Amino acid sequence: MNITKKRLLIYLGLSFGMAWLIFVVFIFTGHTWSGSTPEMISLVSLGMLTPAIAHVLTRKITGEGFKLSGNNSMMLGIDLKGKKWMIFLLAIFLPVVYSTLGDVIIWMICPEAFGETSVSTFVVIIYPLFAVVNGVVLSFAAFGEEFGWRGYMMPKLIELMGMPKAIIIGGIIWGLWHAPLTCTGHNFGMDYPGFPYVGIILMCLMCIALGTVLTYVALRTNSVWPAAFMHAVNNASPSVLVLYMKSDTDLPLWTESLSLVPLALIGILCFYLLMKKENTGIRK
Amino acid sequence: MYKDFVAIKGKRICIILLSAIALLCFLRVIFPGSIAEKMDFVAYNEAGTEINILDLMFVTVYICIIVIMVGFVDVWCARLSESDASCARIKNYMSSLPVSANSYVASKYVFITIATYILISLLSIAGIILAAFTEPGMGLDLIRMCEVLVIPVTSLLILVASVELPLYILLGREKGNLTKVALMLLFAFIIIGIMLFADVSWLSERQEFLVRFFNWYTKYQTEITLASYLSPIADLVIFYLSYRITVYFKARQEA
Repeated sequence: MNITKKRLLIYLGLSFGMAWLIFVVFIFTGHTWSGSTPEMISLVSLGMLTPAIAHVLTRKITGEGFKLSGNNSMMLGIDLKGKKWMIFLLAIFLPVVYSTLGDVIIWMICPEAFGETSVSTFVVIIYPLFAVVNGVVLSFAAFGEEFGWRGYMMPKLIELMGMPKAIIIGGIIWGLWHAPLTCTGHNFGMDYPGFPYVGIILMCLMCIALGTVLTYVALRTNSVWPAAFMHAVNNASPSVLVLYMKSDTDLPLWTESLSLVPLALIGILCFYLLMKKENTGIRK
Repeated sequence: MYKDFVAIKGKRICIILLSAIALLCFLRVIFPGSIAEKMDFVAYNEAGTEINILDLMFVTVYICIIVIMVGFVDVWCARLSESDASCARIKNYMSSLPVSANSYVASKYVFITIATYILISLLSIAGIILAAFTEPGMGLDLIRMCEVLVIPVTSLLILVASVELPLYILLGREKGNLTKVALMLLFAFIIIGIMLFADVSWLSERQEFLVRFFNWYTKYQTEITLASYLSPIADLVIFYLSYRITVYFKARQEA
């Protein structure tokens, strides 16, 4: 077997094994995403650190070394030269844009889902900044995932099967990694036709779209940090419209799916840029 | 930065910090709040409300760990520039490197930022684990408050470093130490002045002070949470200004 393939399989085995162990314990102790306390949700979210642990363990097992930056490295370096700082800034603020646009789509389709907000105008104004800072400062969990997926899995997949296939397969693997949580109602709830299979498929599609953008920023800067920050801000729900959303409204799954359209469009743009970069690289 | 990490015995310090946090989390998992009643660790206050002593013990340890670690990492980071000046070999090695004043100063500042980020992450992970095994009630409310306040408290490292780093980098070890002692003495005199002339009756009622503080926090929870999460912005602006000033004077010194 190809050495890269072997390394990738070891990584995936460790990453899925450790995370699913935590998720399965969560499921078998009778917890669901909406029925658990915020403390228990936070605890199970620490499963996001397992791809990082798997990355380090795989490098130790396979003797790949722990190079911080450069080729075949852990992509931990930060280089802001050559306008790369713009990619960092873009990565941090882009989730605010596509999340807000996504919520605008929900508002257009389902205006009854929104109402008065209970917080002050000042909080409303400052909320996106709050979400961004909160995401960046407390990005350790997202860093855990990105250090594994973008720092190890994606370079290996690209090496094995080329950019387009790697993006799609990488997204599917990432989506399937979330599958036990999707079965507990993470992201899409539990009350939709085709539960949980439709949710798992949707999660894979979302991971392909988000994964494309994250791969683009990681490869463009040769660092997992902007991807980690972007992932963290994305998870912090930076759209200000969240504050106006009624908590008791059950949105149909297709409405929630449509809110992912802005992210998908950005994903397509990043996919095009990645392919363009790869083709330029091959020609050179 | 790796040189700095080795010079200040970073590996040993990281192992100590990680072990302390891991031990705390391990003990919390073994002794969750739910077994407090079996262990006879439940008390009742004057209003008849149940108080989980086991949870409060862990909250106290968590608060102590936050304060000790911030102090510990601060002392550790203060040695960053000292180590360059104190060890002739490192000094010679540094002067032989093709590193500009900008990069040299930046490496120290980035080191502190990374140390603060790691500390916030570790303390937040510890907070999440502690909270998950704490029963609803006063203990859980206190842990939630600590989780919010851990960011501004840990960010103090950045503020202290904004003053310390220019002192050590620009003035050197001896003068830097002297200035630091002078500043600490000034701070001590201010404290003594407050103790002598200000109204400090609240100090004699420590318990009431804590309750008052908690009530104040509960009343302004949204505002305090917002301020806490946004405090790193102010700290980083001050940190950046300190960096620019240090680079400016360092470049002039070298010229």
